[in-house]
Amino acid sequence: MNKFYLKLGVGIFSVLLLLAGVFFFLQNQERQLTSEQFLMDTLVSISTYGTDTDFLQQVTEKAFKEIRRVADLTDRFPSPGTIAYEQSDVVKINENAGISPVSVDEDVFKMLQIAQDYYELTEGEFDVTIGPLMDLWGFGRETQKVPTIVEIQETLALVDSRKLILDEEKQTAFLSQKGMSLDLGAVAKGYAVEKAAQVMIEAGVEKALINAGGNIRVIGKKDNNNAWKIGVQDPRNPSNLIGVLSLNNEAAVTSGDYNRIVEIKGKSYHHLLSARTGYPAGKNMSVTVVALDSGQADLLSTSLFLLEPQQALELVSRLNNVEVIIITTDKKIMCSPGLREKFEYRSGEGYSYDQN
Amino acid sequence: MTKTDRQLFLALLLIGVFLFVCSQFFFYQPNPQSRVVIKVSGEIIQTIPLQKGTSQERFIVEGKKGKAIVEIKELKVRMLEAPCPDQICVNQGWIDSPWQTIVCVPNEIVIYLDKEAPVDAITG
Repeated sequence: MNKFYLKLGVGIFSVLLLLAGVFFFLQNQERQLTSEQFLMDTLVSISTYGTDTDFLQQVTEKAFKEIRRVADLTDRFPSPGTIAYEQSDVVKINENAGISPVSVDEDVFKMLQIAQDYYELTEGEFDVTIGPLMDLWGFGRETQKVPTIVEIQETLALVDSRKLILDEEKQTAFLSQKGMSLDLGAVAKGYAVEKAAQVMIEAGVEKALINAGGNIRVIGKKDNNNAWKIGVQDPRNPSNLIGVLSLNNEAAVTSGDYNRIVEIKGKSYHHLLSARTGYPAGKNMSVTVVALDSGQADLLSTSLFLLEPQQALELVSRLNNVEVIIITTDKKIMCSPGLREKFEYRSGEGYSYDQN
Repeated sequence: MTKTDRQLFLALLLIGVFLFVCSQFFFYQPNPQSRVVIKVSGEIIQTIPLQKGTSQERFIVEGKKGKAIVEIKELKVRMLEAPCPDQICVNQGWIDSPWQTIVCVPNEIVIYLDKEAPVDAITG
């Protein structure tokens, strides 16, 4: 009988050893941590992957904090008297239009500098001083209306990036005419997402996906052999994906004529206004930009949306590490050459995909 | 084989079967069925299974700003009414694909279909 207990003991011991092994294996298994917060007028979701969930939790919190910081700095409509109102550099610059230069946060200054560059590159179609025109249409406000031609002409006189004076040495910004105002709606979200991504990369995160309402930034690869799969929405049928992008360590941002639309007297209008004409731009249904930097992708998706498709492709060919998918209003899908490897066209009703 | 060996074999077999049964409970996952998930301020407050042939059903969801009404019909879902100024969520209409999400920012309501999606995220 003694022999039996000995053998049983050895048996149980080996089973426990095996269990310990399995436990150790599970402990070191990759886990996913997803957190969501409502920031910058959208749902921001951050998914991180790794073995140490406490670490992932901490980094995710830091990343959200960074997004919130940029959101507060660039908020255009905080209620007066609140802390948010005090913290917004955009409010300060707008309130001091025609009065005096305002010293601003380093990140706000950078955003304005990049916005100025794209004002030049798009020959004035994209303009960060579009505030008065957005207000005239009522975007971001409770009620919207179609302005008259006279109102548009009058307001366009207040939209002029050449009157946004940036002083690099003093890090100040100044709108030189009273009534002018900045709207960082096309810049801030992508910039904030990139800042968050940088916080995570610096902390040592190797795999993550940040999704701020379709403004996507991926860190690393999905797994050893596969890239992240990012669907591109069909602009006329939200249940359909027009195609799938395979991305690693990149950002993808889309500007579409179907987002944030308002209906005025039975007609719908989108918020991507041309700073040249004062009306919603009408050549494209959607423009998806793939770039290394989410801030650049965000700004470019709006800028390119406002341009003629050929003009947009031409501009992309002059930029490094930037690719684009353009879906025109006559349902032609065009890709920049560098994207052919990364974009897999699926299908969509009535679209024609031009491989060249 | 001695008697002891046989007893030992039996004992180990029993332990093995016991562990196997345990692991089945531990890793048990229900059949993947399409269902609607409704979240308010990050918390899942309701999940509703979707079935072909079900008639219209309405659910009241208490959002941050007030009561919203979610409607389900067959395999799709929509925000029927919501107390928000922009009505983006209501204007979005029905969703029926796993990559679609209805988001009402003012009410902090998120509605999506819990199905395996072929992509990690969508841009649009």
